[in-house]
Amino acid sequence: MRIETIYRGEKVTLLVNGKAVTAHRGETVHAALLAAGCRVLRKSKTGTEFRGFLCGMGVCYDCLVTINGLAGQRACMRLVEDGMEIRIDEPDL
Amino acid sequence: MSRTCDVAIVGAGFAGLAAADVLARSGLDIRVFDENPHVGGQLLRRPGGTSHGPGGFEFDGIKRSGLRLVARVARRGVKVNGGTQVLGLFPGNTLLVQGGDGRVSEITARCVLCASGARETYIPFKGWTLPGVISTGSAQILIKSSGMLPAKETLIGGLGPLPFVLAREISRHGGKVSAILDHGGVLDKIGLLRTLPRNLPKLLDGAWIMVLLALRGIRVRPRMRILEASGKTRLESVVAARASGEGAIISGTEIRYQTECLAVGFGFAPNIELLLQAGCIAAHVPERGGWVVQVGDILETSMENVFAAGEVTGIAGARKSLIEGRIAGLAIRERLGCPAPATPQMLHGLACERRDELRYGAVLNRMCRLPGDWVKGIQEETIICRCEDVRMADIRKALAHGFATPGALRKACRCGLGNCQGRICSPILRDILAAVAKPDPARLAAPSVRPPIKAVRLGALAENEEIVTVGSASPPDP
Repeated sequence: MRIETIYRGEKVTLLVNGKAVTAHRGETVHAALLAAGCRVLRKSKTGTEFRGFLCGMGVCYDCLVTINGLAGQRACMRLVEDGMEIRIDEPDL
Repeated sequence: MSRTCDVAIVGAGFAGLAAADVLARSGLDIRVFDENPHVGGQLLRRPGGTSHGPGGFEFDGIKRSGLRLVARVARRGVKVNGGTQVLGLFPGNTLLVQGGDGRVSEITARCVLCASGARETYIPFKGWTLPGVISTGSAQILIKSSGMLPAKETLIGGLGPLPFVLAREISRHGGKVSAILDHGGVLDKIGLLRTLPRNLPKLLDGAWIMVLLALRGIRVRPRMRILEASGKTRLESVVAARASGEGAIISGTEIRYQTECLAVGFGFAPNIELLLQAGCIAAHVPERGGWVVQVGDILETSMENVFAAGEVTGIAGARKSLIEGRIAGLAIRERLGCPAPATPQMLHGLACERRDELRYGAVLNRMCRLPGDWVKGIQEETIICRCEDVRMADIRKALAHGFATPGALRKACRCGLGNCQGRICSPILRDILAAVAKPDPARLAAPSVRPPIKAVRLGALAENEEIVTVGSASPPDP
């Protein structure tokens, strides 16, 4: 949920599982995904549960997503870039 | 980038920057590394991924000093390498570093200062792994760095002052707070009064927050425990109940909240992995937030020319970090033979200020401890190691088979073997071991840490043939 009164960078477009999502420069990938309604980011190690982000500061490695083809990237430690291709595990899309 | 420098500083928060400020004045060649894309640590986050973007006037005095420090360090020409991970510290003070471009390189420094800050700690409950359960710090980061609320309505729980600060931030930006489930009691906060008059501004701020929360109708429930978070693929509801002074759940007091976001904060733990991997001696000091690196008066660790400053020596907040950064900076300056060393009066003044801040930290860290034997209440299906999906039942089974140290449990059920390398579960596991297994203190040794201390692609290591240190000796697994 973007706060309306806060300064935002220019618009960029991300491709999340092939679907175009609008974000703003300066936002982290995990925040942009949250704003797009994607709370679930991946399946857990044993595939029995889902995980989203927990710590938001690069410690917990729960928010791992695939960015531009490279798997296991911490979504909370990367700023969005125009045209970034992100893959997450369903079911939030 | 040259392969050698005078001082390598790990962490560009208050402590690292304060040291850089002191050292840059002496014309030393210093390098600062920080994993985050922005400068200023966790406290100085600003929208747009910078530490100095438009954030409006800053009312908090310590944040104002921090912003001035960021500007001063930049003016002195100190370059902070953002988005850069330090993967290891090896004999001869050689650091293995991964830059933002993914390239791994080595740099050898005459002195190393580790100012790698702290992370949040957790008290696990059934369902705490569901998407939508986040930390209070994480919620703050969303607001401060990305200008985003964690949800339309957020339920907050935990210990210490952070849940209250978060509630103010959320409601200030138009978000709703369902309630604050304070795991402590009203009386726990009285200890803070002992830190007067030094912390009068902080306590007044705290009182003001309580008034604001009351005015906005945000309910604060003392002595609560979260029993369960549930939902199909993501958080949908939370059940909490009241606990007695000894920590036992009072039946009949259960409340269910429908919410898509629960933010929990139970205090902090120092990030001492780099120092442990290097071989520095650490000690478990609950008043300082758990495992802390041992340092002398000039903040040198048990290893020569390796210094530590800020939260890694004890959780106490930004003001202590500023003071320790200065102390370490002055000590390193003297060690490297720079002219105009600090006067004894100056050092004495800093030492006194540091002692006061440590006292304040002790009160805060005490507030962040649950009374009684909370470990007993952890349900069997509760996940302890989030990376490897290790449940409390697995741990109890391994304990019953005699695996009674963190190292043994790691081998028995993979607890702590995942991507975060035990950063989230090791403080929890230590409390479980202390409570359930009741082993002798020697068995509760500091967790062993091996390089690389952060997850790195093997390809990134293989790409640079000049790297020689990765295979060199590291301290043995106790």
